Amino acid sequence: MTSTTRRALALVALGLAALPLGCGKAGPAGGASAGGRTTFVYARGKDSPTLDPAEATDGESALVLVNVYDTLVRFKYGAATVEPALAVGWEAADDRRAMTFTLRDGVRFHDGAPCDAAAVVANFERQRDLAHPFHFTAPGQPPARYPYWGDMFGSVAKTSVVDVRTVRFDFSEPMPPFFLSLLAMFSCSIVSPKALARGAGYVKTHPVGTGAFTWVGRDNEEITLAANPSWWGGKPAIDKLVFVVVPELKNAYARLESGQVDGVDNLASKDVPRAKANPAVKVHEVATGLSVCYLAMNNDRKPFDDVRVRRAVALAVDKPRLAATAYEGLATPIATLVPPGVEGHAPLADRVRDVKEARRLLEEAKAVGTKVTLRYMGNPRPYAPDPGAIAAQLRDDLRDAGLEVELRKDEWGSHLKAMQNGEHELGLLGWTPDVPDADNYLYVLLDKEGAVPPANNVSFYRSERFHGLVAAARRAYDPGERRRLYADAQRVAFDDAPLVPLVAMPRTAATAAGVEGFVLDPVSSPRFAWTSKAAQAK
Amino acid sequence: MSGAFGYVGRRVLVAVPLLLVVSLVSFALTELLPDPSIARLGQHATRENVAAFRARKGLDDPFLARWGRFVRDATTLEFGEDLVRDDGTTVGAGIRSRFPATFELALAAMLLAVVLGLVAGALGAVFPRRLADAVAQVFALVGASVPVFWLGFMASLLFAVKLEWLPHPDWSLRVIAPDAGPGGYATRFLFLESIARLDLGAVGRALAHLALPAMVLSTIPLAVVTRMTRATMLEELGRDYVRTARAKGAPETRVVTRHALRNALIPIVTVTGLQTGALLGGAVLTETVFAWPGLGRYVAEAVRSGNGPVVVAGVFTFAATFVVVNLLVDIAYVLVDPRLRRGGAT
Amino acid sequence: MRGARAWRRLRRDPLFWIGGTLVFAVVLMAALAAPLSSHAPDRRVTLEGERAPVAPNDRYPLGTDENGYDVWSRLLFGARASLFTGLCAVALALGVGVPLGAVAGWRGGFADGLLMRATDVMLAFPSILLAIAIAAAAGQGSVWTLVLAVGVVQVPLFMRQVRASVMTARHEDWVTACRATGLSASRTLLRHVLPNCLAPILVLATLGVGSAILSAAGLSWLGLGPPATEPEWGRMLEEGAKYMREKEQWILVPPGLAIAATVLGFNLLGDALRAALDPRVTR
Repeated sequence: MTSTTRRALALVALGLAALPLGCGKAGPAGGASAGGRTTFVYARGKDSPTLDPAEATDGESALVLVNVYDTLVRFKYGAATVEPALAVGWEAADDRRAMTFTLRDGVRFHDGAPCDAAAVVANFERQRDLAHPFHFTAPGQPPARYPYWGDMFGSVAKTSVVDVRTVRFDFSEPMPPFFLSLLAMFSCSIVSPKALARGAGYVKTHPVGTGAFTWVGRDNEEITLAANPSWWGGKPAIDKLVFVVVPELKNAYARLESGQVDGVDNLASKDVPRAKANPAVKVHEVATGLSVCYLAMNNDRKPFDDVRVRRAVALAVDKPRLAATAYEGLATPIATLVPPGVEGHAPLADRVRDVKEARRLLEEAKAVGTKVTLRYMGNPRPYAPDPGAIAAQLRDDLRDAGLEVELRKDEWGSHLKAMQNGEHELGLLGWTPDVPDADNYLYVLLDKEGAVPPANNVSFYRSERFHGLVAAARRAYDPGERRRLYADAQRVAFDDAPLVPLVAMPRTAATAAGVEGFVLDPVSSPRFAWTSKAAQAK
Repeated sequence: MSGAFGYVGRRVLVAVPLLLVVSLVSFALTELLPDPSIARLGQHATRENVAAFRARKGLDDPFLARWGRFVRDATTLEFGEDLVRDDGTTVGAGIRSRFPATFELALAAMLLAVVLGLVAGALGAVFPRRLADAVAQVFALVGASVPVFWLGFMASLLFAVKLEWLPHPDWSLRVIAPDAGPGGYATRFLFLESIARLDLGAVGRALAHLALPAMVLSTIPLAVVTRMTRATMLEELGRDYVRTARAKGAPETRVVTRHALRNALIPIVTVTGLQTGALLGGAVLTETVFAWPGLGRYVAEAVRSGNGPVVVAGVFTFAATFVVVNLLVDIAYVLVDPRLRRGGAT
Repeated sequence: MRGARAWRRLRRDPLFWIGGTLVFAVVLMAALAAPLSSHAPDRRVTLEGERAPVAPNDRYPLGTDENGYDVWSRLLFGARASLFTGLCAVALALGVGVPLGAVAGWRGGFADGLLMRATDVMLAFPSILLAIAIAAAAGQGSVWTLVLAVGVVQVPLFMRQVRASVMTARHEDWVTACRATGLSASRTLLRHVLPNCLAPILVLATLGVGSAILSAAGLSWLGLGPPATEPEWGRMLEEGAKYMREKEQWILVPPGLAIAATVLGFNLLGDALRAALDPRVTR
């Protein structure tokens, strides 16, 4: 053969010889190779759009933020109660129009700056005051309120420094009863003022906080964090934390089973049984979870302006079957939007499926045989892993009662927009709360004030009675009174049936068997400060 | 000589307005895409947030103003800001960081298809109408008939899960070259750079991770290459010079490889260029199945989330690649075929 | 006669028979979907108490999927959807591509230049992205979305082919003869030139149906096609993907095989036609 052929063959042989070096069962992700340092690889479905806590509104940004930053108070690991973090003590004034926090001593940001009252105040003032130098505005645009601040912290009038370790909040009206939970949100992360001074572009891409992990860098969609050796909570057991994006849940889980990643942020319902049966994998679940899925009926449109039709729909839906098939038995049917376990949940007895009664109500309302369209989203959501299956089943359920349902699928963005603008008759939607409190469900999703497009109250339910109860609950401080008011409100909503609450969806995650100290937070994004990984054999 | 270079030169001149029109069409197409503010801000966004976001990104400006901005951004090759990645990342940076992954995947798939296709086609030409021929042809055709994503499932099920011969493709520096030292690699061409650095471990890992998606993607051009090889080789093997060579006593393998195959390469090169379009299209589906961090997946997701600038820039990049490859094929054609070089009629 | 000779070559080609059988089988499935299927394809047919998905048994020859839909019925009616999509897409491409190509080839000059540049643009545009964009823009996925997305993408292929055929024919003697006898240009084109270009168009169309079905399946799988309830093979594959490693393989395997077999059939048919109609291609 010619020399060229010989050389070509040699190259091919070399390549083939190198192949076995990469083949075989994939080694441990990141591995314990580099001198005994542990790397933890966590797979999630999407990238983080921004890393400025004041701006972020999505869970993927939050995942990075909760590990790099601290807040004044935080949710206990694995629970929904609040405990000290950067603040070690707090005291509210009697008229509830002021609150002082005492800060932890000796805490420094990753860039060395001290985390003192001035730093904390700068963080809150920049969100409150549109003219603050650190309130980042796009060039040529008027300043806009930060998303969470506007919604939740509207009553904060001022934040001020009392002394080096004391911060004071002043309110324009008595503060909301769940104010501490609000402070635990990732949007209240304390950012280093030195970093803030470097401008919007810097903070969005280089988070500098006081948290358990420091920012290392980004490789496309892959984000790397390193352990903060001087964290006030103790050095994390993991040296390197890597977040990777694996769009399909099945793909991510396959990588967990083959050892290419150490943890997966969500499990497809179908994968849960096999994951539980696999000794190399640990499944983490939060029993009922906070995400809820519901079938919204547009109360402004026929035939759903008639309460009998709405009750008929509520009677026709077969929730247990839905939970069993479309959710693989993982979700819990709910009678009210507020899931069990959340403060303010009322244990109402749900309607049992009664097709005959549903039909009778429809006949009475002269709505039998009406054609309606059910809109649903084409992308999986936290509360609806398989929207197509849910929509299909709802269609069949309603057909049994006598309503002809046509399905309409849209991309998530278009679907949400259409529903917020009231273009639907029936629509599938859901909600993941920002705060584990009944207010964040009932007020946001059912109060008449939310019924203006782009509405969160996509049922366009406008009940004065309901509004009165929820508004009173917002001002009540006695937990017993709040619960009573919310229970009444939920009963009103149950009778009026503006929407049909379907299921509450648990959060699931999975880690490799050698991972210890990973607890799934019901409220917060996963935190890795207390997680460790057993050294794996190569 | 001038005839040939004039021909190529004309093709280059035509390419520029072509690409401009392509970008205009795709820009117009982004008008129809969903609103990106939902993808970026999530369900909890208020009307105020959405309005502020849209104003900040200039999404409500008139069409011509936006088109003008795009052209201006295109000249810097940054193509403006990524709408969904709201941290100032430019689309250009996003494309530059993902293009190498698609390029290496397409390259691997094309090489695989060419090698396998040459072998299969040659076998078919040398033993026409026998079992080997039929098997080769059917094999190639079946590959082109099976949906790429189904093939992807089945292949990963077989090789990555059941047999555990190959890993699930995990194309990142951390996995391919973990010992790359500080600063990592200079480029994102993980495979090519690992070869250049003679890092055998990295080369092996790169091949292992490339194997599955490249195999699946190669089925697309495979059928065409096989058929082309077989047809041209049959033609060549029937020619006089082959008969002469045989009469002179040359061994059959020599006749096949040195003569027939060599001459069959010209149309194969042409076909390869033309298949780039199909290959890039197939890359989109393949990248989605395997979670490959390439341009195809980037643009496909951008279409779903309404990330206009990414769509336009991505389409532009694909089209430009297609045009450049075809241009290179034309040049290679002109250089290889002596008849063309003399400026004679094509 | 050329046709008769082509037919003889075709008859002797085993690939023609294999492809033809496959296509015929699919057409049969589609035509006889109603009588052959035991249930409605788009509604829940499981009984009260039966937990979907149900494994294949007497009642459901291929089992049911997780929504309680009968897989066999969906397979049959899915054949209808796929054939419909493929044929309509090709019809669209023919309807737009043939006249444009004929104009370009016949008139030449400016019209030709313009149309050819347009074709170049369309061919440079990555087809799948165009298809995804059209489908995403259309919002509500339906069979028509798929037809449009997949059909538009094939227009340039037909345009090019027709143009080439018309151009070569334009210079033939018999065409000049036609014109000399006073036949108008358009008549010559329609009644004499075009029918002679039929052969390569037929090949392209056959291959095009296969390609359209494949692309449509891909788009459906991405979620851009008709909603979950309508029987469509690509959609069935997307649903079945969940069961990739589970024992419920009856959901995942049939639609994949169906698509592969159908597309293979059209590919074989097209190849055989090409071999039979083009005297230069040796077999």
